[in-house]
Amino acid sequence: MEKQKKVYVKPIITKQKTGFVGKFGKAGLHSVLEKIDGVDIEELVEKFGSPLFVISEKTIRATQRKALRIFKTRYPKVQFAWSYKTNYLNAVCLVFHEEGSWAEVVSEFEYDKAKLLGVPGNKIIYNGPHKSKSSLIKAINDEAFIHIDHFDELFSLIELTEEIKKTAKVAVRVNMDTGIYPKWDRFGLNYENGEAYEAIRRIMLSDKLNLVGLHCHIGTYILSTDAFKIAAYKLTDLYKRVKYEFNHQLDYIDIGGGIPSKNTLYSYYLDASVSIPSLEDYADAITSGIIEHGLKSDELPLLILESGRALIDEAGYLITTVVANKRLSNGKQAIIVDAGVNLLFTSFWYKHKISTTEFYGEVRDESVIYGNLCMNIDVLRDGVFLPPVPVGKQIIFHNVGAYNMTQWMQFINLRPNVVMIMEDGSVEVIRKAETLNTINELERIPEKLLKK
Amino acid sequence: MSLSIIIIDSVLFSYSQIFFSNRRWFGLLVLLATFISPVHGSIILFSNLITNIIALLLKYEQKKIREGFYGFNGLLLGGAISFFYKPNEYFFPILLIFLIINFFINAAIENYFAFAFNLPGLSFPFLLSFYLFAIFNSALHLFDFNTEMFFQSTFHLISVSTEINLFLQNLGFLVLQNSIISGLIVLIAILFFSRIMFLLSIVGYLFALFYLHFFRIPIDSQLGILISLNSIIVSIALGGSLIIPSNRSFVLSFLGVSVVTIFTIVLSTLLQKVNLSVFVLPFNFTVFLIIYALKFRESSGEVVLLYFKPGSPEENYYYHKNQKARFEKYKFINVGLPFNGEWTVSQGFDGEFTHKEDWRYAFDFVVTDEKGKTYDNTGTKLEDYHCYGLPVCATYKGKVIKVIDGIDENEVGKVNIKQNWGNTVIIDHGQGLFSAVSHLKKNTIRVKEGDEVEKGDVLGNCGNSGRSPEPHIHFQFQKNDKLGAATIKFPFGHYLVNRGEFLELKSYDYPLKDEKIQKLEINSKIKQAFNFEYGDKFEVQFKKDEKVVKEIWEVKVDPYNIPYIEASTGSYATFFADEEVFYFTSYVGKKKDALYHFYLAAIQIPFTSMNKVRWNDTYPISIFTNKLIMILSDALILIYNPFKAEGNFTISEEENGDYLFLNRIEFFGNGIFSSINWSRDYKVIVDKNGFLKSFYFIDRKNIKNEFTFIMEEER
Repeated sequence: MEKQKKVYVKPIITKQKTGFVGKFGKAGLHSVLEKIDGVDIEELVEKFGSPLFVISEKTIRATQRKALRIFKTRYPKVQFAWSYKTNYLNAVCLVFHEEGSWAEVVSEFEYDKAKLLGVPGNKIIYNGPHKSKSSLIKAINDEAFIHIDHFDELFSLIELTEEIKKTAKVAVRVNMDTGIYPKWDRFGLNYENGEAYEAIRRIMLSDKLNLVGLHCHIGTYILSTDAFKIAAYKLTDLYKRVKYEFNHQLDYIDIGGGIPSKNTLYSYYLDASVSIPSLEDYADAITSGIIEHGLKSDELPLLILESGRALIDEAGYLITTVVANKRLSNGKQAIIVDAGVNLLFTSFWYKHKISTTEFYGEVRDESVIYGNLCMNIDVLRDGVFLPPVPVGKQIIFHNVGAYNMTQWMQFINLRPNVVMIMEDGSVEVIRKAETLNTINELERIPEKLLKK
Repeated sequence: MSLSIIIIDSVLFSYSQIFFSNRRWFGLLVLLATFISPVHGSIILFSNLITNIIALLLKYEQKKIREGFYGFNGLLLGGAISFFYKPNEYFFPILLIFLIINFFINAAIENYFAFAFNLPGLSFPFLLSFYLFAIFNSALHLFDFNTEMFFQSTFHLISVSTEINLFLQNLGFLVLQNSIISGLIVLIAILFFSRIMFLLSIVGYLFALFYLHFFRIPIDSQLGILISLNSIIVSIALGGSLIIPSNRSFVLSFLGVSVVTIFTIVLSTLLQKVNLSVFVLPFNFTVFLIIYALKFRESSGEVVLLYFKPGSPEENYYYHKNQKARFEKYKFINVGLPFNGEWTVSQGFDGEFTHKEDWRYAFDFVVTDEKGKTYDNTGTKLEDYHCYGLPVCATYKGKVIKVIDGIDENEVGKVNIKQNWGNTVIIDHGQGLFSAVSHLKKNTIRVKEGDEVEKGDVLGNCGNSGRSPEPHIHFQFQKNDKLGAATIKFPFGHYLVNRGEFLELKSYDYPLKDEKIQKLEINSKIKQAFNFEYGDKFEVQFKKDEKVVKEIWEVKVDPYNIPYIEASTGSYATFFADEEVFYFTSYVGKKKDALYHFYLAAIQIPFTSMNKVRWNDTYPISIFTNKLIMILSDALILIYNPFKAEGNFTISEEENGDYLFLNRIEFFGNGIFSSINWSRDYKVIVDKNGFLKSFYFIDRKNIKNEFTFIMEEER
């Protein structure tokens, strides 16, 4: 039997710490991950290249079902709408739609994408501060729910509906003080100063606008469940006022998104698993904010949720491969991998959980993981304790399902394959890696620059 | 409806009423049977007509008049008087007076019986009037006794046996004719009307022959004839017309014949002394006695008294079977589940832990996750449990009668047997129904004693107080307001059972252990589409033989407050709906009408658009057209139910937002008829704005038969 060669590890001196959780929280430890949903990571890289985004269908469905269970056991009428901007890969959207989610879109591009995926108009919520005229006409004709963001949009909707002689189904996006900072008041119309109510009044006066709901979205990555309770309470209050003052029954209130995922923000010491309230806590807060109004059960509005990251983050992984190890002048270990921040946008915000595919020994050194861009800002993860990871081996970033596959950009390198591990264990490419041609195809060279 | 139609119907239905029939042609055949002696037949017709005219002039309810409710006693009286007495110049004036007397007796008795006993008045009024006449005549001797016509056998058909002759003659006597031809006409009418009735008349007669032989009474003696004719009609009444036919019909027939034989002997001995004939008095006594007595049973089992408008015994059977299959557990109180979302029954009726004896009809509910577990993490903390802290709601409107709060939560695995029930809310729902929900979380109860709650209102949150080792709720319907009172078996109105691939709709049923159940989510648009209100009108358009045909439907309500849709063709379908489901309950009319197809397509529609929901319903097989199958089925129903027709529903949402209900109707035979089966797909489309749009089916020639609702503004 051939003797296995031991990996040489350079001796280092580390300050002794007792226990896991100190003043600075759980030490940035990594874990070993050999397989995702039973599929070997090294094999994935062999087959689909590195870097590689991996999405687990099983995890999406399980997360969505769990969220649905948590809300539905607390409130009788619940509807989720998949926030396209969080991840609008067709396969991902379709899994959510199969689980019963509607589509929540914020641009004409997203709107068309949803329609192309077969989502009927009456299951599309059209949000956002800029809705083109052509997309509004589509939305009116498709009977999609148009969430009005500002008065100018309201006026143009009144004009448009008169022009095309059709009724639009609309909701008002409301912003409000929920006691948190930053207060999002750039979207929608204000609750406290009466702007939202004024918009409702204007809509009620128009016979071509049918007010069907109220919407708010109090922020992103909200760590206070109370803020959600206040939002739900205020929105339901408005819902009641519409009912009693205009004798008009609205169909729904849409509480938006903003519920965090299991990622830890850089500004937080403690790990997300201990510092973030559970989804149950958020659900308790939101539903009790509505229930406290004491409406009869048949008067209760449909509760719409537009959660994005809380539903998809966990299902996404980014597999990278180590290009080089080096030691910085301050003694820190640096690991360079083959993916940059252009792919992993969220590394600006989160201390992503890290895994390696093998166990490389007990000795861990404070490390920084750099990307492969020739840019100083290209830091994927700082302050993580890692053993030296051999060149050619994989480092996996967890909880990357949200925003990365929409906010990524083609920069310096081409964007890689995205695969989905299906429920049955098979692996499907759901977005092909870009080629030079993908980029060049869009370019046009002025004739005089072409070589004769 | 025109007066002439009412009069013609009232006359014909009065004739058919004698044999509990509701067919015009039956009445016509009986009329024919009475005209074997034309004078006699004319008097009967005259009496019938006069009685109905009196009822019309006095403004009695037209529907009852039309159904022969008043006329049949009148015609019997006229028939009996002319049967027993020889007419002379006084005959018509006196008959007229007695018809008027008879009418009042009839109106009083029939209505009183219906009101006081919920029973038909049978022919008591006629007998009473007839005895009055007989006593009146014995004082004045205006008319001579018609001795020839007295109950005696006169052998007309030489070639057949005495027994058969007598059987036919008895049937003739029942329509007050001393003629075998009359009897034969009646028998043919019975055969065409109902094979069961035909069989029962023969069986009743055979039982009578058995007793006559046993008591050594000559079959052609007056007593013998009276016994056999009463037996025949008792057998028909108890075996199929007033009690729903079943395999117990022959037992009932035998029982009825036994009783009526004794009654005939006793009553004729008594009445002979005052020179009156018992005629059908024993039948009246027997039927009234047995039916009325049977009403006081605790449960009906196989012997079910007729509880609806009678048809032929076969129709009664099919109607009853269908009602039983569809609404056996139906209650007027539609209670909902005490929670939101999907919960699992961790202990059901007669549970293995605590649901025993007086508390056997109770439920324990928990929440299980996608992996079938009731908790996250280690399950050692209360907060780990999915159901812990979830809202618990009222199952039905009522008054909060008792609130127990302040009992501490147990740690996981510990129980509090001193305060067994833990924090509990008890609600009085009225009508003797109470509900109790226990083991609530301390200080979460939101209602107080005396509060009125609505179905679905949050009462408090699920906890772990009382005899509860891990968070769950205990729910029971109970007999009174006491904590820990004895439980009542009471079904939940509508709920969905998770079958993995689909959600099965259950109505008025009891969830079983380990079933994952949830409420039906109501879609207000679909509810609106099926909200048929009194006076609503619909226009339905369809193609018939290449021509466009229109049918107008109107929603009406009958005197018993049963709503129905009546088509312009005269067909009608009764229906009812609770807050969650619409049901058609019956269809009467032509099988070519749009309403017929709508009845088939939409026999049961829950107001939901949850796309994984499935449900089914059963049809009375008499609703389908195949004559051969009906004859086969009729012949066998007293033994077993050879055919079944079922509708299997699913719902989907169209790309344009419309809702589509697909109903695959499957008709299949059981046992030796298992090779007979067919299916047909019906679709009902509800517009996304909450209006009925169209419905259609694909027929055997693969042609789409579409029926379109025309919107009001289009009309």
